[in-house]
Order: sequence, then C-alpha cells, then structure tokens
Amino acid sequence: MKLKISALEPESKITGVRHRELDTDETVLAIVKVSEPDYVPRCTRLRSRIDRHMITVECRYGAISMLEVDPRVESVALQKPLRMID
Amino acid sequence: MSNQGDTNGASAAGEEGAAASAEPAVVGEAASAWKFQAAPVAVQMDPRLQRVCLRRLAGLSEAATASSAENEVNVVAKVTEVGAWTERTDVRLSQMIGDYDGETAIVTGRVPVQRLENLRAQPFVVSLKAAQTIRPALEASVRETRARSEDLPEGSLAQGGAGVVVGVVDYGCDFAHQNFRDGSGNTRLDFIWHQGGTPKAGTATPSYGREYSQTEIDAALNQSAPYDALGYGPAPDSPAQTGTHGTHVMDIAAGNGRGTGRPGLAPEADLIFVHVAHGDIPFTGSDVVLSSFGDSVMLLEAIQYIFDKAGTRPCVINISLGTNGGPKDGSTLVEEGMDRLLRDRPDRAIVISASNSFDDGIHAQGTVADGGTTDLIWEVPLISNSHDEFELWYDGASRFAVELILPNGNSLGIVEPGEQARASNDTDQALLLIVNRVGDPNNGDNQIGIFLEQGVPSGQWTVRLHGRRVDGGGAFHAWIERDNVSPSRFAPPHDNTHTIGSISCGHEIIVVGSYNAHHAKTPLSWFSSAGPTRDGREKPEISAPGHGVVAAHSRTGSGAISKSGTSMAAPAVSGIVALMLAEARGSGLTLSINDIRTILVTTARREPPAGAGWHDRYGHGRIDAAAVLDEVRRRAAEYRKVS
Repeated sequence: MKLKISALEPESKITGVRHRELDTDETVLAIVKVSEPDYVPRCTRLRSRIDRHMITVECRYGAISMLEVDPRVESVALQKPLRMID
Repeated sequence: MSNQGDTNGASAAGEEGAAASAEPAVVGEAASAWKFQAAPVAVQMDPRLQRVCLRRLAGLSEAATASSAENEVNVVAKVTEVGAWTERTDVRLSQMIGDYDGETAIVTGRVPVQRLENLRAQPFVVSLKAAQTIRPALEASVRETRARSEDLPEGSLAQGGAGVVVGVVDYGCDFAHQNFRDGSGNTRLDFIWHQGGTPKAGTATPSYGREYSQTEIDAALNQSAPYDALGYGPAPDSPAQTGTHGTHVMDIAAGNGRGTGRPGLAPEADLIFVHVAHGDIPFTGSDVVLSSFGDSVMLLEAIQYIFDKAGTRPCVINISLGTNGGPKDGSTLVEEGMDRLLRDRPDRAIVISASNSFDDGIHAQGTVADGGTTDLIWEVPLISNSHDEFELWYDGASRFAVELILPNGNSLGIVEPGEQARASNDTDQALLLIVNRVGDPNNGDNQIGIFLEQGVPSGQWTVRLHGRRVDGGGAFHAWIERDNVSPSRFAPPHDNTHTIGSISCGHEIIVVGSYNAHHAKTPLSWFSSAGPTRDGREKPEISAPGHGVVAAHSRTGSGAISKSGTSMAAPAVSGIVALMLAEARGSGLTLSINDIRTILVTTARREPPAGAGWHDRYGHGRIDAAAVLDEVRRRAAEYRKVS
C-alpha cells in the first residue's frame, strides 16, 4: 500500500469530504450560504430558501467548481448522511 | 438503541482469555474459504449469551420482547453484592430473587447486548445467564417529569398542548395507531411528508417526495387495509427492528393514550410527521444497508416544511439524527440553517437527542507541540464489515502534518497541510483516503479526515500528528464516525467528553440527555453522550427519561413496546415544550427560542445532578413540566402588570 499525494484546493468554500470520488454528472444536494440577498447561483436548481442568505440546491457535481469561484457564494456544504440516533 | 460499540467489552474479553489477543487478520481473506475463527467474545460466558454477542458483532439485532427492549436481553445472575448490581445504569428493572444467603444472591435484569461482556467481567458477578422473561411494572415518562394533570399548576392553560404543532422528523409513522387518532377515529396528523415517496401527479409542493393530507389519511383509515390504501405505512417488524422508531418517538411527545392507555406529554397537540430520506448520492456499504439514513440537506428541508405548515401556530420539532464527526462548534451550515429558522420567528423550538455514544470510545483530545508529535491509536476491529472514518479538528492558526502507521508498524507516509492522499491495492481498489484540509470556510479551523475502506488490516493503526507550526497551544479534538455494524474506536483509556452528535452543537437548538426513571435515584443512562461542544458551550441543556420507555408499537393498533436511547428522552422534552408554548399562547405571551431555553434550564430539577451548575450529561438538570408551566405563568403575570 502506497500513498499517492496531491494538493487540495486552498481555502476552499466547499465542505463535505467524501470517501469516494463522484462522477461529474452525479447530482448532489447542498446547503449554500450567499452574501447577496436572494441570490441563486446559475449552475444550481433551487430546492428551498431557508432565508435570504441561505438556500438548499441541487446541481451536478461537476458544477461545484463554479460555486468555488463565485464571489457571491460564501460557503457550500455538500449533503452529509445522518444516522438515526436510536 | 442500535448496536453501539462497547469499549469495555474488549478488555473484558481479553481478561477472560478470549480471542481478543489473536493475531489480527486481513479482513476479506476469510471470505475465500471456510475456516474456524476464534470468536471475539468472552469464552466463559453462558453460550446463549455468547451467541447474542456474536450476533451483535455480525450486525444482527435482538428483537424486543414483552419486557425487554430491542437489543436488550433478560438475564439472571448470581452476585456477591446486590447493591452493585442494582446501581448499575446498564441493568434495567433489576430485581433480587429470594434472599441474600450471606455470600451471594440471585438477581435479574434487562441488559443491552453490548454491555453483556462488561457486566460478566465485573468482580461481583459470579455467573450471568440468559433468563426467561419476567413481566415488569413499567413507569411512564409523564409521571417522572411531573407532567400528569394533577402535577400541573391549577388553572393551567396548557390544555395538553392544544393549538401547538409537534413536528417529528423520523422514520415509520403509524398513522393508524389509536394513540394518534381522536375520539371519532380520525387522524390527529395534519400531514405526513414521505421524502422518499413517489410524488402525486399534478402536485407541485413539496417539490419531491409524497405528501399525505389529513383528508387522505382519514380516507385511508376508513379502509380495511389503511397502509395499502394510503400507500404509506411503517415497516413491519423484522429481526432487525421491532416497532418503528418514529411511531415510538411521536407517542412519547404527543400520543393521546387511546390505544395504549398511557398518554404522552402533549396529547392534544397537532401532529406533522416527516419521514426523512437521503439524497441521490448512493451512500455505499453494508453499514448503510443496515442503517436508517437521512441527510443534512433534506433534514433542513424537513424542518422548514414543518414550520411552514405550522404557520402562525407555535411549533416544536423533534429530531433524532446525527453522526459523531464534525467541527462540533455549531458552524456547519445545517446547524446554522436551524439557527436561522429558529431566530426568524418566536414560539418555535427544535429539540435534538444528545446521542448514545458516551461509552463507545469515539473521542480523543490532546495537544501537539511545535516541532513535536502526538500519537492517536485507532483500533479497527477484527470483523470489519464497513468502512471506518476518523475526523480531527484544530485551530486554524496552527498547521499539523499527519502520518498514518499500519498495525504492523509500517508508515504509509506523511500528508502535509493542504494535501490529500489516496492508497489503493494492486487491483486499483481504493483502500484509504487522507485529507489534510486548512481553513474551513465556516469557522476558519483546520480538519484532518481519514477514511479506511473494507479490507484494510485490522488492529491498531497509529495516527501521528506532526506540529509543523503551533500557535495557541496546539489543542485538537478527534472523533471516530458512527458505525452500527463493526465500530472502530480509540484505544483506551477513553475520553468520553464531547460525544454529543454532529448536529447537536447549534447555538439555538435544545439538546437532551437521558436518565433512567426506573431507578429511584434517576441515574444517567450509560449511553447518554456528554458535552460540551468543541467551543465550550453547555450542551446538552437538559435531560429526560430515556431508559426503557414504553410507547406505541407500530402496526399493532394499540400496542406498546419498550425502547431506550436519548431519542426516547428528546420527545419528552418536545412534549413539555409544546405544553409550555400552549400555556404561553393562552396567556398572550410569545416566547423566543432563548426564552424557551431559559425556562427549561432554570426550572430543571437537581440531585441528580449533584451540586450546582451545568453537568456534561444531565445538562442543567432533569426537566420539570410543572415548574416550566409555573414559570410561564409567572412571566405572563409580570407581562400583564407591565402592559
């Protein structure tokens, strides 16, 4: 077993580390925080509006890089599985 | 409760000379041929109990019986100290049979499967065997929390929570159970939203899943097969699950007792249930197959849906979801989203169970010196049917490199800050991923994540932290992610602080721990997770009965079943918050989420917890419904005077 090391995107806005690589065409859900009220990034489909600065969206995984460079996007949290607390 | 790891169980097995000391095997090899493996369970244990333990390790659960909860077994023991037996919080409904003969006594009790080995290893236990069921006398959460009508203030306007919406985000709503129907047999549910359901043609909202209206539910209830008629129902009982979680939880909060004879805390409240689902990304692995999953985005959408449907009515939402990892400082967007929704309007609350991970060995903390190293030992089990996950957070001003060392002592290499690393086997199958990330966008802190896939060597892995630049002390916290099938953990001794769930650290939500109301001394439930948050805030805020709680059993019409967990404690608090909101509404008061929290914590009962101040598992104390309503009435009187 040998490590293959690569660089990460510095100061990335995206959270939600995945243990497997996704295909660029896979649909992902995300919570997005925006600096401009009511702004919805073009590469996403709005699912719900939590308030004027926070929305839930879906988009292609390949479009996440567009959110990374969008100056009106402050932070993106990819969907994270949650288990039942029994 | 689900199968949780048992930190002490491993050492108990080792003490009794079991196979815990066997050579670690590479998982996956066993599949190539049949062979005997030493069982990783104490060999001196009663064979029937050994079988139960092995079933747990294989990811199978024990069905509930008339007197025992799911994953709990009835045992009979010979002990030298009766008090030591009855005082244990992992023994429920303990009872002495006959008299103490001067040396030993025979006792019985109900014990969670994952505690059997620990209990067997106690010096005062001479023998421990599976027992026949004894029907116990059961107590209701309502009485212990002082929420019976005779306990509440005279002239209370709470009216069982009438006019308040209790929302439940969970799995398996049994709308046909009598406890959720009124005197005419109609449903008390305003809506059920099945997020994973197939949308009804011609409906635009919600934008996915299937919503069932009160009219549709009532129509189904008039049919001989209501679940088929509606196209939705709770899962039937199975070896993996007896009674759906959501039905049980909703009954504790707001069942009316028409079926079981035992009403919940807010029996007159209106109900909305969201059967949560997860998004389109297939989460893979056997742990997923055997687990109930939601996801952070759809959870936030579920919460918003319930608040929207509640409209101007006061509303409390109960949630029992979470994981172990995360920044644990309330900075995740799902937590911030909940905070925003709660600050948006008064008379709203979200109540979340603390988690059941106290004794699972999932947390470690420490410091790394500038130029120095600190090791964390991560134990990957011999039988590993799922991937394992490690997450570490530290201050954004420092920089740690991370080195991963295999159980055989070989280092895989060092991953510097700002790098990630993958390792694969000869057939290019991914084996592990290390991510060393700096500058989280939400809190500015740094994160190290390690993912081990199935098939990696079992045994003790070393995570070595190298202090490349340390500013402000170099403190870190690390967690091992939940895994109900074959959990990994840190090597003992364990630091069980900071074990509350990943979404239980928000600023505005109310987090609930569990105690055992079947004991006169109301001791903590052994599983109930501890705070504080990583940034030092006091969570859980409050505690409630969550041990052996008897509530509605799905698909029985009127039956009940016993379950244990902090998710049985949270709905008791949700129900009492519903009473609080109804009392306030009746008095003309509105309550912000901070008012709601302040009332809960300032009226909480002590002894236990002993002394004053916040306790990391009880929170500010045990909830007191009567005192909560008294405080609302006092505030209302003050408000009337001023206005």
